[in-house]
Amino acid sequence: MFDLLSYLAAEVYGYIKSYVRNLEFVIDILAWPLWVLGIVLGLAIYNPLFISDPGSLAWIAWGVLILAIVSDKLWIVGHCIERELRLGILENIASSPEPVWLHYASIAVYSIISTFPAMVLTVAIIFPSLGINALPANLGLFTLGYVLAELASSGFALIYSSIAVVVKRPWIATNAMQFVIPILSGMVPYHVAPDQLKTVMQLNPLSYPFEIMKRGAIGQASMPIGLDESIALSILSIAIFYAAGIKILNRTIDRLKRKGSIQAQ
Amino acid sequence: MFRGLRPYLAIVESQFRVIAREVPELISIVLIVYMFIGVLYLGGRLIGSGNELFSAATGYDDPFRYQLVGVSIIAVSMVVLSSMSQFANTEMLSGRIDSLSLTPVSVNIAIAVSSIPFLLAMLLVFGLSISPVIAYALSSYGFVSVVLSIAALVVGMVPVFIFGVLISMVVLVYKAPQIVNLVQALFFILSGALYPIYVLPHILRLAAGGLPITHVIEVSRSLLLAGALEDGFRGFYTLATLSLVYVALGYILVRRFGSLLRYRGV
Repeated sequence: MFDLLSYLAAEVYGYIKSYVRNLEFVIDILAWPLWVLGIVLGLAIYNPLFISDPGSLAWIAWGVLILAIVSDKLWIVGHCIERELRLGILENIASSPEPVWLHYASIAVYSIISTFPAMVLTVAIIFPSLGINALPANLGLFTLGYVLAELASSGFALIYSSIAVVVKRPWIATNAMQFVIPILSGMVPYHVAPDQLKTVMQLNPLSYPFEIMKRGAIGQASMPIGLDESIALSILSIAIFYAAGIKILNRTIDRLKRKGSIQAQ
Repeated sequence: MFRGLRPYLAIVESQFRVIAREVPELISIVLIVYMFIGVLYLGGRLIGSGNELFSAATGYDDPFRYQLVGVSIIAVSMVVLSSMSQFANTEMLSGRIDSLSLTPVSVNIAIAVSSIPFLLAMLLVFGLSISPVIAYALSSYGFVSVVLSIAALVVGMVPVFIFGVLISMVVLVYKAPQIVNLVQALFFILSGALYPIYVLPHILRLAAGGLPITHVIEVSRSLLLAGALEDGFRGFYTLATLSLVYVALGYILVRRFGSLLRYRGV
């Protein structure tokens, strides 16, 4: 157990050391709020009254954050195997004594660390510029929801990473998913969604952590579900996502080894 | 005279070969444009309250067409910017840029020329993605509106090329290919691709007014969605003037960066 934790800590530390000092990291953090602003206004223009109504605009803005978080996870975690295969380092990773799933779990943890400053910057600068209260209505609940949402979406992306490595042009699928998944996960508030979308949102495990996050941020519920149930469903879905993700990941790496396609492409 | 053009033609030819391998990617850009607009349309419809308010805020009554014009134009400019900076970065990483700087070929022109095939491919992508709007404009306002809007796009691409050369030089001098992501994000929010720029915070509104791509989108919308030839011509002149200013500024900056590049090496 201690070995696993020290591997995980070393991996996350390595990622932070290599990427956080990188200009790419700074640029991503700076670009994130700009994309969020653009999409919030792009949605709000459908009902321009919202632009001068911070209460309504808050629903849209926190909803667009779902898109930003999911998109980040899909690109960082979802493309992790494909990226390392492309860079020619997957074989080395698979040959190391460290369990391979731990390496990818550490990418999921790193992705949470990397999204956090961008989200803080967005909420601290962009939200007030739109007249939205940057301080969540219930900071504790918001933090809980945010952590659960990050874990759930990175777990989901971990499952996707095994698909992305076998698809020929994964960026096309990722582009499609980064728009579709948020819509099904509460980017559009549940209470204004049509019945079919409401059903999908109820069935989609990603909806619940994002619901907790928005509930903490805005102070109002959107889905007709109790907080305890939402938390329980979120934790259950995270456990399932990670268990399934790790299982599929190990199989994918084994398959790549068997086929001899684990070397640099 | 033509012998001097041969190296540039070779770059164009090699870039065409690169594009020929990426036809599915180009087609998928059209799909992504539609998917993005589709998500906004679906989300917007659910939170919106009919077209009246949208029409009152933007002056246009169809939000789908309105955003389709903007996103199609911004997609073209984004691909031009990224293809130019990617060319500079690839040449730098492979060490070819040093050899290129020792030949009589101008690195700046080589970078600009490298994006011509991408621009042509993107015009095709633009044509495909915006085809419903073009069909609507042809049937409602005639051929002149469409031709003038394409002319506005071509004139508006000149400053985008200049931006591309400048970004490529920043990539080469500071070894920072990611800078293009930030510029693309700025183009996206300042261009008014999805909304009229008056909804932006005041300081961003000022920056948006000085960006040629904003005017390309405005002119294209007034020509393709309203058939307003007079507004179109007026916007076209503003755009042409702005483009000339950018060419002059770009020339000065490119010379400055060029000497810095030679001094620091790549």
